[in-house]
Amino acid sequence: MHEGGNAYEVVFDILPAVHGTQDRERVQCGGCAMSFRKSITASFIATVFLALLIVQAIGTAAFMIYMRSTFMDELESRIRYSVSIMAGMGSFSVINYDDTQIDHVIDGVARDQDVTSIHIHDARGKVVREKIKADDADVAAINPFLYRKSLKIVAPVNSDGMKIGEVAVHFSPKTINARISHSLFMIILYQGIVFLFLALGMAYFFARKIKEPVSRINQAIEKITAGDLTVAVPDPGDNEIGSIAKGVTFLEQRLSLMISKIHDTAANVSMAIRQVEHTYGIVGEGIATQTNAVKDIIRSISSANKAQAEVSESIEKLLHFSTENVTSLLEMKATAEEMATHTQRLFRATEDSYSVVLQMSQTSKAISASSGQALSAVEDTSASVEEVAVSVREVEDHAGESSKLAGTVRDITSGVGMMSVVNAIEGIDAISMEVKKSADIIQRLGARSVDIEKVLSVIRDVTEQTNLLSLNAAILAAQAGEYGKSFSVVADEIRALSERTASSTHEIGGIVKTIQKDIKDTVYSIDEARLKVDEGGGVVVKVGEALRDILNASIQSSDMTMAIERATAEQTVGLKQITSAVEEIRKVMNSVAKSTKEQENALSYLLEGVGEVKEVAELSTRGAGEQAEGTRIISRNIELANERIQQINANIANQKKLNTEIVAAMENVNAIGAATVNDTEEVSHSLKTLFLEIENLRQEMEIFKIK
Amino acid sequence: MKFTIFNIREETFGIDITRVIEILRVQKIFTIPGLPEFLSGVMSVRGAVIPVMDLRLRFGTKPAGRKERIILVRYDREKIGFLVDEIKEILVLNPDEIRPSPSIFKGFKTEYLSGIGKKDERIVLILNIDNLLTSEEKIWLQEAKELLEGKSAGTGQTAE
Repeated sequence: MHEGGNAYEVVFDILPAVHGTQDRERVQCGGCAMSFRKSITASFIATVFLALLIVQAIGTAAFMIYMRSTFMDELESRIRYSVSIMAGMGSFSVINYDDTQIDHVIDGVARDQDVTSIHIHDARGKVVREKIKADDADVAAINPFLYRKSLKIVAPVNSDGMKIGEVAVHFSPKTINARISHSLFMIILYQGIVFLFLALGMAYFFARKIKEPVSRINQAIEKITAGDLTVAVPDPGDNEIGSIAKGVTFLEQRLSLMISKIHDTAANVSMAIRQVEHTYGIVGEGIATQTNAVKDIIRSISSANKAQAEVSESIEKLLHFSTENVTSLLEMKATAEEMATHTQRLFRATEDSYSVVLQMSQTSKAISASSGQALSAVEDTSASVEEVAVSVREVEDHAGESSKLAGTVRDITSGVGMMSVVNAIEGIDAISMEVKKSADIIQRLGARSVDIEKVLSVIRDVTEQTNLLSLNAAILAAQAGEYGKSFSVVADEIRALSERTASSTHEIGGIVKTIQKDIKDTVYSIDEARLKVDEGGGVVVKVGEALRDILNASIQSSDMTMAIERATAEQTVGLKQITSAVEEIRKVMNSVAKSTKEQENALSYLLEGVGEVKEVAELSTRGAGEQAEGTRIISRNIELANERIQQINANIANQKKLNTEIVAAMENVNAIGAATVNDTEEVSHSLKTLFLEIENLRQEMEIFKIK
Repeated sequence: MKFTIFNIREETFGIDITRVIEILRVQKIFTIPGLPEFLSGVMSVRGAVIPVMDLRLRFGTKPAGRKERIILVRYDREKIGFLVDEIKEILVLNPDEIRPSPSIFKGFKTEYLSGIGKKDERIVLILNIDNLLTSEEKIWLQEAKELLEGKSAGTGQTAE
């Protein structure tokens, strides 16, 4: 605003000045119409008069001096003649003191108007005769040609070669003075009349030939200075004033041409500025879109982050559960092992009982000898069977526990574990989708920056054109001289602005290049992120598979445990049968004493039952072994799952880092966008100022009417 | 005095601004066979046919190729366009900043130069554009222009 303000002030400074000169000119013109003294006519006439006056004065003075000397010579010779006569006559009167003759002469001489007094002295200086007409006072007058002094002519009176007296005549050239005065008056009067006529003639000539056409040209110039360039300057003919009129016409045409050019240029510049402003608006819009897009990206990345956090949490939970699984499995393993030992023991006990029964069978032949011994043996057997039953119950308990544990494992694996995996897969899918969205937005951003580049090339064109316009305007301003000074200021401003715009455009171009590079980097990062996410997805799927394996294994294990349970139940049934058999044996034993044969039959039956027991024990042992194997598989699978989960965690951490990088890049893009907006706003502001200036200039130019 | 400052290659030249009419973008130039290479031909500016002279070829260099402009100047009651590389600015030179040209300067004939301007550290070669063409070349140009004006007048009428 400050830069623009200067030009504004300059324009406003100049215009009043122009009006001021117009006013002054008008006042001067009024003056020349009113005061004749200042006009050329007056000074010309005055000069001519002065010259004539000087020449005439010199001529008159020369004439007067010549005339006066002629008259003077004449007068002097006349007086001298009279004096010589008187001197000749005087000798007689001086000697004889006879005055009659001389008096006649003196009277005759005294009749001369110029003679003031006549004196005749003798040798001693005594006055012999004297006649005084007037005082010998000097004449006092202004006329420089008049004689101011009274003159005196003296002549000696001689007699026989001796001076006996002298005659003195005083005279004043009164007649000469009168004649000089008269002629001087006449000359001055005559010349005055001639000067008067001459002056009138010249004034008429000037009024007719110079003043009127000049005032008409003046009127035209006044209209032109008031801004009306359509005025026709009158043509007073092919003389000096005519050439002035042509000059004024030429100036008017040049001025009108120049103003129309300035008008056009201003219109062009203003159009260019509108165009630039429009394109800047597009740039601003583009940058706003870009900023929004970047914000979207950041939002989606943060939501991706959130989803990742959820995944991470689920995986943590999963890890926790699988750790629990491992403990449970370890417990189960211990139980199974215990069960195995018990089964072994059972087996051994069964074998023992089998061998006992065999022994019994072997010794049955000797029973008859010792039936009491046999009875006690049967009781031993009963006790052993009781022991076996206890062991089997224990096995049953352990199998139930193991089955429960296997169920828990199955529940955890199929419930929470699978849910976590599903959550993880969903989270990773969401991440993948967000990343894809980000990639799309960034691609669009890239397309936008290409648009901006197009806009920039338009701006570059406009800037170049503005520069050209400013140069042409500067040329016009320089050629217009004083009139163009204000415009030259504007032209300089335009040029400075176009240079500034060019540098801004260059900067924006650089910024757009940086943005494009950043976008490329971002696209690369996002591609990498997508790869990582896909990898994570693969790992999660693998975890799901592992969990399915675990599930299968635990189902298998559960089946086996159930089989053990079933077997144990069967065993219990067997044992019950054994117990009842032993009971029967005891009964039989009671009647052993009665019948050995009966005993033998009972023994064979017993043997059969014990063989059955042995079989059941063998089945139980095999089941326990299988269960242990299943547990080992489960634990291995769980370890694998743990490993995978840790891998997922690492991947997610990696991805988080990438996301942070993307967010930083996006913020960078945003900051650059904001900088661009700032630059654009600055340029736009300058353009607005310039536009105002141009509008001002155009308004100022509106004053001029052009054909 | 004000001068229009332009570049040919790395050298800076000036033309008295009172001789300059306008600065134009490069436009269609009609070549005329038989003219020396530096007389590029004629162009049409607002209906007037104006000869164009390539100052760079005239001074024995080649166009720099970055930018091109045409300076329209008054020349012998005619107008002539000068093709130059880049027009920089309008420069004011005081009379004490202008020196007479030395007898030999970079191989240019000295009649092209009317002086050398020195402002701060910049040297501006001030062109005497009246001496840029020999009288023979002026006649060539005049003939070519008349030939083309006749032609364009004929085509102009048919077009209208």
